[in-house]
Amino acid sequence: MELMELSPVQRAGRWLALALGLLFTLVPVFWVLSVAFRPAGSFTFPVGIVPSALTLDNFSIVLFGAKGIGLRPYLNAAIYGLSAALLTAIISSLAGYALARYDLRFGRALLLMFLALNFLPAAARVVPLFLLYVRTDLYDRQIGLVLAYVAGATPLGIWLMAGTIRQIPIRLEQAARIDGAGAFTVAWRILLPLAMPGVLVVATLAFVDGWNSFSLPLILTQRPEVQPYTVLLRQFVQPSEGGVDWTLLAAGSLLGVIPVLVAFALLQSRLVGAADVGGAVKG
Amino acid sequence: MRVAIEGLTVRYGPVVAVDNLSLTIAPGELLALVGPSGCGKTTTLGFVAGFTRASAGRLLFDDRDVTTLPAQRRNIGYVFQDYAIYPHMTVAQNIRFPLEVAKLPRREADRLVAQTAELVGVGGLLSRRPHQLSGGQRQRVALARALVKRPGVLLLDEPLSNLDAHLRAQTRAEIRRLQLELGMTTILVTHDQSEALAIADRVAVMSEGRIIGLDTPAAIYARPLSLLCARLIGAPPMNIWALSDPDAGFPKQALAPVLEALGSAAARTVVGVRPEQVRLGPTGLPGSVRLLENLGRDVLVHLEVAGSQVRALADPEVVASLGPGTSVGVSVSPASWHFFDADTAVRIEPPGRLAPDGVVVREEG
Repeated sequence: MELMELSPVQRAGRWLALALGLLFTLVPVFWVLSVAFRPAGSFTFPVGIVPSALTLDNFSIVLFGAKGIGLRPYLNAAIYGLSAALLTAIISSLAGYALARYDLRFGRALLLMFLALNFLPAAARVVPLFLLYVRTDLYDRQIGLVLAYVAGATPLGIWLMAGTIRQIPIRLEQAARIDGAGAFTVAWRILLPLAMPGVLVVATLAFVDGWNSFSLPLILTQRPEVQPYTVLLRQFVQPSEGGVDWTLLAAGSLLGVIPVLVAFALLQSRLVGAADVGGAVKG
Repeated sequence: MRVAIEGLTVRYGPVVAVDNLSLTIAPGELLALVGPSGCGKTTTLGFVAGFTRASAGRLLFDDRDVTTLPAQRRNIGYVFQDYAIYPHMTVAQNIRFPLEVAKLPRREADRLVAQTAELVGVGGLLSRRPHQLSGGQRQRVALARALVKRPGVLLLDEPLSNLDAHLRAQTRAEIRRLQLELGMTTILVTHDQSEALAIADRVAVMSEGRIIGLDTPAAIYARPLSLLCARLIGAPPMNIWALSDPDAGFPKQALAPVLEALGSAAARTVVGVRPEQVRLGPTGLPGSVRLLENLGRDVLVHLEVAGSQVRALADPEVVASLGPGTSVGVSVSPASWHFFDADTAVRIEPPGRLAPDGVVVREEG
């Protein structure tokens, strides 16, 4: 993209828009941050924006305290996030390849359907899923939850992977075949490295889905052993027993945000930088 | 290795891309498939490589039927028009890939990669990435990757068309040198007839899915067997006139005695003469110069003679005094004319003293 010369007014306008956007996204984050590090009990009216004292107690209470939820819910969320990421990446890559490379009779219709599925409100599938799960004995089981996440993430994943694979010249596959590579070697050594930016996007989206989801585990599970932190944090919200424990809730939520931030920080450059497939063809 | 294509037909729906084509390439031979785009030459190459599904036909390597053998098991080297170098690998990794897939011992692979890189002149680029290479360098890497496993057959699909003119001439000689050195059976697909004439042992001219001429470069140049061959081979292209056309004044006058012998058949005859065999001088039919194109070694002179447009290739000294509007004598040795049947477009031998022996063969390649 070429950078245009902007007049000072335009430049000021752009800065203003950016600043407003940042304010809108960052203020809640700062708010959670500021609450999570306050000593318990200091969160009383009138609430100051800047905490009077800082402490890490809230985090240790959430993870290890008697009042806390323990490590297990975070481990559960990690299991859901990682399994969803892995399965979604595999299924989306294979299906995306088929749709990108083979001249399927209903290929275009299928792709459009996958895209349309993304616009289906998540709430619309909760009740049917619940009924289905109760009847198929998937209810309250980890595998059931993972399957639900994968089912939710694959439509967009397939759509993205079909687009990614279409960007990879078919010549490269032919060249690899000529070089003696079978289907698996072509996929592993040529396609996967070149499709990696797309795979990472798909896997990251699925991971965030599985890690963050609240409504699906709330409805599809009931044993605390299999529930993720998102559901269990609710025990800090109990108006009947003295209200909301804001500092613990903030600390617990913050623990949930960290892995997502770390994942994005690690993948950032690879997510943004598209595949350098252009170097393959012509000069 | 000998490569034999037998009765290859490729249909895409109602379109016949290749029509019952048979062709045998001798061991160590470089055969060029030449023709306009869409003539089926790349489809034919794809059949040898294993990319193209044939509607009918067989492929033999020596005496082994490999028609249904998948591409990865044919031991072929293939240089793609756009090179198809793996963008995520270094030059060394690219060249090494076929050996790695074949699970060659590391030391042996190292040796072959180094040797092949040296052979094609990319020894100094081994740690570079494809996007750091020029077009010519990429072409060489593609060639090294094709050669490293010492394939039985080398397939070249327009390997020079993405290079600039200077590099093209240099690289085609290089390819020929390597091919002779390694004694590899090679099929070169090109739309550039000069490339084919320059380095091929034999040239197959293709049109509409068939081979319409197959011979050594010298023979196909001197005795084109069909009108299309005559049009496609040779640059600048042959002067061609249908004798029934009103603009055929020049050949009619120049060939008057021959046409008499042909009698009524003359009206169904097409004649041609290569620009380099049109002589300019004090004698001959009076022609008037329209335009001069300086080609460096030669000058291409556009003339009007007896109502016909004639192109003649001449020495710069001969035409030094000429300019647009000036007059010059135009003549053609009778043996230099080519005759074709207007209906079948097939070469015919003229009656009388224009025996095939009289045809001047210009050595080429």
